[in-house]
Amino acid sequence: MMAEIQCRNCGKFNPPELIKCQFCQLPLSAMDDEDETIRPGQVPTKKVTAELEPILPQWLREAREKSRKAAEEEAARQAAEAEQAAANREAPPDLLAGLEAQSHRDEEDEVPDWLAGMQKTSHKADERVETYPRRQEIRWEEEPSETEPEEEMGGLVSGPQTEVTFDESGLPSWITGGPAEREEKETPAPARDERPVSPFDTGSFRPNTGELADFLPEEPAPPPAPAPTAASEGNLPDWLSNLPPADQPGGKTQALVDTGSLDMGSLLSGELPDWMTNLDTASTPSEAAPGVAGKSDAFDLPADLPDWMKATSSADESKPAQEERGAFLSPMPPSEEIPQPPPVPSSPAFFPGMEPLGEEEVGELFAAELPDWLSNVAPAEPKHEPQAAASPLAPGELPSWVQAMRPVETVMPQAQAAPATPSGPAEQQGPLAGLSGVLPILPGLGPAKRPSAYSNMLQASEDQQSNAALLEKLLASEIEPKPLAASSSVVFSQRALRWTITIILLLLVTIISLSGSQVTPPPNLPGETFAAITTINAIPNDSPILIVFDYEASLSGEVEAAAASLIDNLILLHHPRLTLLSTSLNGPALAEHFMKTTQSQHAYLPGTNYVNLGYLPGGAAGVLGFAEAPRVVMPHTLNGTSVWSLPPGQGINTIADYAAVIVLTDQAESARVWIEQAGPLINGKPMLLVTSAQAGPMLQPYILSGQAAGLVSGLAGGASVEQAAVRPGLSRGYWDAFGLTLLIVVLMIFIGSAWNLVVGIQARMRGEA
Amino acid sequence: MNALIGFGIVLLAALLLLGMTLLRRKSPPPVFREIAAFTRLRRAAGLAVEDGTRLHVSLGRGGLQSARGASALAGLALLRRLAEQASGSDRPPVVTSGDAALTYLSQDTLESAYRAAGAVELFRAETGRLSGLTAFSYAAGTIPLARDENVSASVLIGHFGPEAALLTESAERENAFVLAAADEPATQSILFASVQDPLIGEELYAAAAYAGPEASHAASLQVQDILRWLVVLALLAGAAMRLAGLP
Amino acid sequence: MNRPFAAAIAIAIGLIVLLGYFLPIPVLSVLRLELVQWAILLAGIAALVGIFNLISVHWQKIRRRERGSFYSAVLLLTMFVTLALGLLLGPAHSVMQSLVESVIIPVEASLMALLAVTLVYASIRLFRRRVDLMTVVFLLTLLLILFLSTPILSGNLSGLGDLARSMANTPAAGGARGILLGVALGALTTGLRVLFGMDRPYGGK
Repeated sequence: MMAEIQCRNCGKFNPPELIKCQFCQLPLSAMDDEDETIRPGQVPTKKVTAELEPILPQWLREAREKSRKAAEEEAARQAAEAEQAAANREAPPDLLAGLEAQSHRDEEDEVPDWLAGMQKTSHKADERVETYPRRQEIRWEEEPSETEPEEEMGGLVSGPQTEVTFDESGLPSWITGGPAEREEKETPAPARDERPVSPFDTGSFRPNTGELADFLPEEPAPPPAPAPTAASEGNLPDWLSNLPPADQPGGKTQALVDTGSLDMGSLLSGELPDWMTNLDTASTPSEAAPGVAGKSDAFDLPADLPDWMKATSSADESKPAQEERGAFLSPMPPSEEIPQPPPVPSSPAFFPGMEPLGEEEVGELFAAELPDWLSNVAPAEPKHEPQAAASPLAPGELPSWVQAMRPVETVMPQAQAAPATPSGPAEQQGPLAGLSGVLPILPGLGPAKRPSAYSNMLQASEDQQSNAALLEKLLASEIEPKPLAASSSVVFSQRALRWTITIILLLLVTIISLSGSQVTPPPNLPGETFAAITTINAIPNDSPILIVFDYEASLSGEVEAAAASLIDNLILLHHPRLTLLSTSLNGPALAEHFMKTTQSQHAYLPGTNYVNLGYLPGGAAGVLGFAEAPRVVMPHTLNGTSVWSLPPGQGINTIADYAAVIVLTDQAESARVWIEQAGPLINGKPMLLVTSAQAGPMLQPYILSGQAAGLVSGLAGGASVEQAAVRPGLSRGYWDAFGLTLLIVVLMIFIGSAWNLVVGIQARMRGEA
Repeated sequence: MNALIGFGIVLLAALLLLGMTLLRRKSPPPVFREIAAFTRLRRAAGLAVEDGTRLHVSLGRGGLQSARGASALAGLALLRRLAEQASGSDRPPVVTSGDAALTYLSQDTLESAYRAAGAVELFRAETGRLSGLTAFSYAAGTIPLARDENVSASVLIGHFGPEAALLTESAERENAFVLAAADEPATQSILFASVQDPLIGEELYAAAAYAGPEASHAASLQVQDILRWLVVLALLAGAAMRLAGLP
Repeated sequence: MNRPFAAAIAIAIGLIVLLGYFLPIPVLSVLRLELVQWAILLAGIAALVGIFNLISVHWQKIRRRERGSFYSAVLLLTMFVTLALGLLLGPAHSVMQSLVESVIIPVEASLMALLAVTLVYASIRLFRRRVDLMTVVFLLTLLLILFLSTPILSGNLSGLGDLARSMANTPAAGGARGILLGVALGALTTGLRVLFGMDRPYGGK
């Protein structure tokens, strides 16, 4: 059984087959990946976080988008700079431009041959860079600053030129490095004596002091460069920038530069990395220069030497050390002529037991197989190496989310900006161990431009900041305690108002109804009601009449009161055979209730004088079906007996066989259904409507169009029918209570609305104030 | 003759609807005029999902066998959108209706919405309820819902009578957002007095178009506009003919 | 049932009923009448099944002891008692009739009375809810119509009743009719959407 997977987020255990944590829903595999934090020397992996974007807030997505655009613009800019740099390679490099200027000052019409050939060399160096990147070789031509030639050359340009030996092309052999070097590869040892003696061989080499005699003596020495660490700071990643500044105690780099006269031995003694220390111990004195090749065999190269070191060792073992260093160095003044720098007291703590080297030892060291870049720019190299070695920063492990956020482009801007160095030598030590091309240039030799500063702070536009502020405000408002929508006093006042209204209405209606008051005058007889009375009067005796009960029990009081007088007159005058039909669920019971309560004086019997068909389902379709085929749609009564064999149903085959259709409804919609569905099928027979007061006005068009023969609407309609028939009934009994209560309601609404309007206006004015 | 005129109107509307729907599918979604009620409804529905309260949709008691059924169908279209939006809520939306057939259609609509949202396993049939078969029994069955089911947004859309005032009153007592739309003019006047966000007139039938980008819904609004202009022209022509003494 | 198949059936039946309503074709009329009969039957069955839904919902409330489950129990108890009586005695029995007259009608009438109180209360507080032109117009119209409809005034002052009636029948009914026209157009397009399967409340879309 596989072990359970512990979620890194919530710490709970999950079955191994799960991909996501069953508790926090975060992916478990991703958590496994998180174990692979960035370690020193490991190239950060650019993670794809685009799939997370949809769940990000809008402002964050916009920020990411802007960051993306900025990165693209930066890349484009760097690419353009790289192209510009390539173009500069075609043109005379800046360094040569300075030389040209110097030559102009010296009224020299032509550039010396060796300088002209220098360009070839540089091209050759470029070619080498393609496959074997040497940072200083790549960059030194590109240096745009005219004030830094010495530093570009590691101070070597200031050296004396009197003893420089030249090859057949006029260039010093250290610059051309060509035929002699190639020849050396074929015939290692014999050509060695023909070369000038390297200052390394004599131990008189003084690197990068600035006090060395200029090998172009006409040119005044440029002012001392500012602190190299500061100059190079811009090219350094943050972790390097955070190291103690050079002017602070312990800033060894500053000490090295400022002293200027520090000899290589003391320099290396204190700052050499391990692999160089090993070289030191394995090397032999420089006096035995001719025997260097032989001694190189004695080198016990450490196993962890970088590849390029091994390659150099194997390829150049037989090469004389002088050639590696350049013959021009041989006539350098002896070290005694140069002020001695203060001795480095001791080796740093992280190189236990390592003592400063003497000059001879330094010479031995450089007699060994050092790479070109180290030979040429040895003074510059320690500017960083010691810092890296002495960095108090412990190798950190970055969590994956930091890794994901780490902008690779900003970490290695120069690596991308230099297309000629797709890969570089991997760093072997320090926090960058294992990284290739992370340190693309060395300070002083690279371009002096300061890359864009990338702040650790979130760079957000004003819009994004405003959005973020809005989000903060929303989040804050979420947790703020909200006052209740209505305070207890407001709730109490609302309830009190409801109860007040209820009590007033109940008391009024009850008292007036029980008193039997008839003080209010009866309503006028509307025209549609008069038409309904006329229609009723015109119905033949003993004719079948269909009465539709389509109202709810809640409105039965109003509709029954409105219809009672009309049906009473109908029965009283013509003794019709009634068919009761309902299109509401409670309709059959309401129909029975109507006949028993309002028409009880006529002693109409079910099955004999009237028949209750019951509930007609189906809405408009049911109405239409009944109008077309009543015998099919409603074959039985509520008791289950056959309707159409009973006296009220005899002779009825279609709805047109009824002498009249009376619809009792509380909604205009129901009346409209009957008018529209059954009206066309009644063949001109009258259809009368008895409705509630709310539906009356909506049915006026059907009265005007003649689709309905008459309308009795609400209590007023019923009361007017009673008034016309001179038979007081329900409507007249309700009429006083209705009228007086309505007046009180009008007053309550008027006073209450006026009060609320004033209060509302006052509240608004207070709010504005 | 009247039947043929009616058939012509229906045929015209059908052709317009089909044509407009096809055109709508190829064009960007239209911009409707702002109706504050729908804006608040979207917010209230989102808040209901966020704070774990319930969304209540009341479809009224318009039976499908009558002309009232059209308002119920419009309510179902809106329900579909809302249910899809609220399907991920801890408390799924509850739907009440006063007609049995409408209840089953509401359940079917809810299930379709959950399926479309990929959460069909969260669908519960009892969230589509029949509250009562008469007006006030429906109101009586629905009123306790706002208090018992932790409803924060209540949507009344369909056919209602005056009993709608009781429903809105109960919902507002629970401080719930209420959007109300009815097809009856009398009910609309009641809702105007009792609801903060009433929909007047045919705005009820625009609810689905405001709630979602369905092409047919936008097209049906355009068809309504075209037909409305035709009706206006017909009324003016009829009035002019009557004034001119023509039959 | 397969949902596209159900949609096809629904669309076909809708078209048959629609065409049978407008076009005087005998075959279509017969088909329409038959289908309408089926619809009536299904509507009755749906009401029965809907009652079972009502029972199910309230039973769940009782089982979970949710808030208000006591009233659900009362509802289910009275429902079963009424059903049993109706099955035993028949719907036209006097006991069933008295149940309607003594329970349903008073209860619903009481709710109607409560509605009257609610509407008065809502009208009073309308200016608390919103203050705009339409609200002012609404309240003024309401007060004017109610005032003119008061029997004491309309009966004693001749012409006031007619004025109120004309206001109700002309501007109010005209506006309401305009609303109804819009509602009818909305209903037409909504029905057509369902008929063409663009909206399928019966599932599938």
